[in-house]
Amino acid sequence: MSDDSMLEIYLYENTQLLDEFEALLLTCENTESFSSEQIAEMFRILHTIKGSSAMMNFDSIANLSHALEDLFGYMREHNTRKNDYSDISALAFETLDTIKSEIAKIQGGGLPDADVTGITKRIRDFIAILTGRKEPPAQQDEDGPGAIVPRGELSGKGYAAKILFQSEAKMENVRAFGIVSSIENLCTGIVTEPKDLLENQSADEIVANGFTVYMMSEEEQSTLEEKIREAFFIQSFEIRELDDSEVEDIFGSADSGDEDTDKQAVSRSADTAVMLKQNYMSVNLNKLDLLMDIVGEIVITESTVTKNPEVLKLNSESFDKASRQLRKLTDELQDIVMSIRMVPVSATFHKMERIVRDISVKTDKKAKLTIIGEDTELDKNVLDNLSDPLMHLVRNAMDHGLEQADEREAAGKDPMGEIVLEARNSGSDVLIVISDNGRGLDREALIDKGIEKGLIDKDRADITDKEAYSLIFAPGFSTKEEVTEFSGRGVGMDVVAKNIKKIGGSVHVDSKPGEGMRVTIRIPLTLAIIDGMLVSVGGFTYIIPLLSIKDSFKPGKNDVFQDPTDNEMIWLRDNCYPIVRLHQVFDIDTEITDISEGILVLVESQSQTFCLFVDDLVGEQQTVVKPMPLYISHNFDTIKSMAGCTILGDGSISLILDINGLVKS
Amino acid sequence: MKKVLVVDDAAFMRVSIKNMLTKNGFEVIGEAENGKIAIQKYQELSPDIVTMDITMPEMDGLASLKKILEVDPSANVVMVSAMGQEGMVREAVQSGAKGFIVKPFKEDVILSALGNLK
Repeated sequence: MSDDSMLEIYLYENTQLLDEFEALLLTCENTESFSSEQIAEMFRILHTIKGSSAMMNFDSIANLSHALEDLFGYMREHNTRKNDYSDISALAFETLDTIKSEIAKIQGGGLPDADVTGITKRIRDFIAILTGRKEPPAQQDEDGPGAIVPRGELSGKGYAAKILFQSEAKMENVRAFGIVSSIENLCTGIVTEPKDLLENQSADEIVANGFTVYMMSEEEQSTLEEKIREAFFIQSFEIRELDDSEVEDIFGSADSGDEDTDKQAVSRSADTAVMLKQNYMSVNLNKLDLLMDIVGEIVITESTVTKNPEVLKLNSESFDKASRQLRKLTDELQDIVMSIRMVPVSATFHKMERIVRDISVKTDKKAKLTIIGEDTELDKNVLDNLSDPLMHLVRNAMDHGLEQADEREAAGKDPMGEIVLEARNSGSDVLIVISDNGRGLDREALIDKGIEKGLIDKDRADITDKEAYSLIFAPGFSTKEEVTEFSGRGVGMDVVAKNIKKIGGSVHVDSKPGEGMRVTIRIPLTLAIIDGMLVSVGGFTYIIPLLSIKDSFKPGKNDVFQDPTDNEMIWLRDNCYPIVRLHQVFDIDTEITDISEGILVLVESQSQTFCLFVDDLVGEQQTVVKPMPLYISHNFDTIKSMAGCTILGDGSISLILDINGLVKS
Repeated sequence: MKKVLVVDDAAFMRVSIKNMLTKNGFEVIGEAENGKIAIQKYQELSPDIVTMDITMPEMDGLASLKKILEVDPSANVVMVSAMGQEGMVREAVQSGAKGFIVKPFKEDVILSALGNLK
């Protein structure tokens, strides 16, 4: 496996672990408690990150996670005081952010090279403060003698073995300890040098001078030798028999009354809360995009084959049956590919908790974030693109929407402000609603500013609330003079609206003065493949998304009338709808200009329902939406009424109408 | 070819170890992400060698090591530890782990350790 894919796994796994860690940390901070399960889990996460990062030689990340791991390791073994919690989470958040930015460097193709000595030192100092304040509980004094002497008489011959470990062995004292325990049963007495193998400093001593073990044993020298050689990373090994005076020197003074001192093994069964691990695997998103494209091609090819005029002439029943089956299968394939790409919004939503937390700490506003419908699913690409706009909207709500606690109290509100982040399905769309119970938008101030910036060309009295509120999404509009650290970092709300539009969504603002504001983002569930109705206009074929169509019918001559401004209207079931002649919109010559000769298609946009006048209906077809070529989308204004283009069964290109865009133009 | 079971909760570590071993004549016949699964897999696959991480969810490497040795006292279990885990490693060695390596390690380290096993 290549280094690249190792890096991919590293990044994938560690960003997930960091998210898990952040979620745990937020919960702990909110509940002002660190449960032992949570501490153990956070410890484990940091430990894992440390290990992987060290393997990748990402020292900054390894050092950061190591320091924080030690802090949580300390917390795991000792009770910490409640008033330390805020310091702990502040340190942890800071470390987490540094690790994240280091990971971001790696993702950007760079190397994690931040100088982390400052922050790791602060963590270590903090641990030192905690340690200095309290006596470590129930930790046995590890100062034992170096001799492990089995009870009973010293018997047999004396041997001395000197062992040097390889340079990369590490934890030499534990290795020496392992050797001692492996030969323990074969010996009647053992003395080691250095004496205390439980002390980690002795590792350095072993590295410098080697490890010597003196044994009294009834076994053969070769038996002992063989046993010792089983240890890993032995660089050199010498064993010799001791003479009597040496035996007396070494073992004569050994205090045989000592109990085994090594039984201080603290069982740390990290029985953390059972994590619900689902049976997932990670897939490269590019592959999914590719799969999606191919499915799109299959859908097109399917209609090329089954709608092929030559084949249709055959009038074969078995072919019809087979093509119906094919259609059913491509439908299923498409549904599955779509569902693979769907991910719950929960991770993106929970990221916002962090923003609310950070801003409330810095601005001293009290706020909580309530999340509703986090299981709602969205296309992965769409969700990724939604993350920034959401972040901006939440920042905006925190910064401009919610008031300071005293201001809220004065207004008779709960001093704790609330931001609600909600996702839900609505027909073929997903609605994301960000609402706050802050001061709301000031309609008049918005209009004043709008006029000042030349964004309004209407009479003040004619401006609807909706128009006034929508001003916040106009380019270059900002009602706040000062730019705060969090909101308005050069990026305005216009960028939010633009980004949402880019993923095919729309945004709508509502507000009640003094009660708060609500931003609703509407995003179509599926963007790439739509069911379309093919309509013909003067020899051209256009596609109307089936979801927009309410009805289609052949009107009678007398159903149509004209309003005072000469717009054509039609009465339909007690409602009056305007008529839009498609041939006029696109300036197409057609023989069918009389309303009664063509077909009216009743379509519904977000704001309006109206009738499209077309020559004829051609039929229904699944269409793969392809973006318009850049040349066209940059140079032609009429493009606003187009959602994209597609390839028809016969290979010709057809334009897909954007009903919302049609309304505007 | 020696058959190895790789136990680690980090997918990254599992892949790393697997890469190092398969390149050098070992066969990784299974992977486990916690101690519990490791015991199951050990019984299922009867590997010649187990590389065992220590800190894992559900059941840690120490508990898993002990269980595996109950089932098969001759099991070749090599602990994969990190600095700071001296106490745990000591207990593991005492409980019958054949040895240990310390993260971060390079290819030759794990090969030397595993090559030392009979």
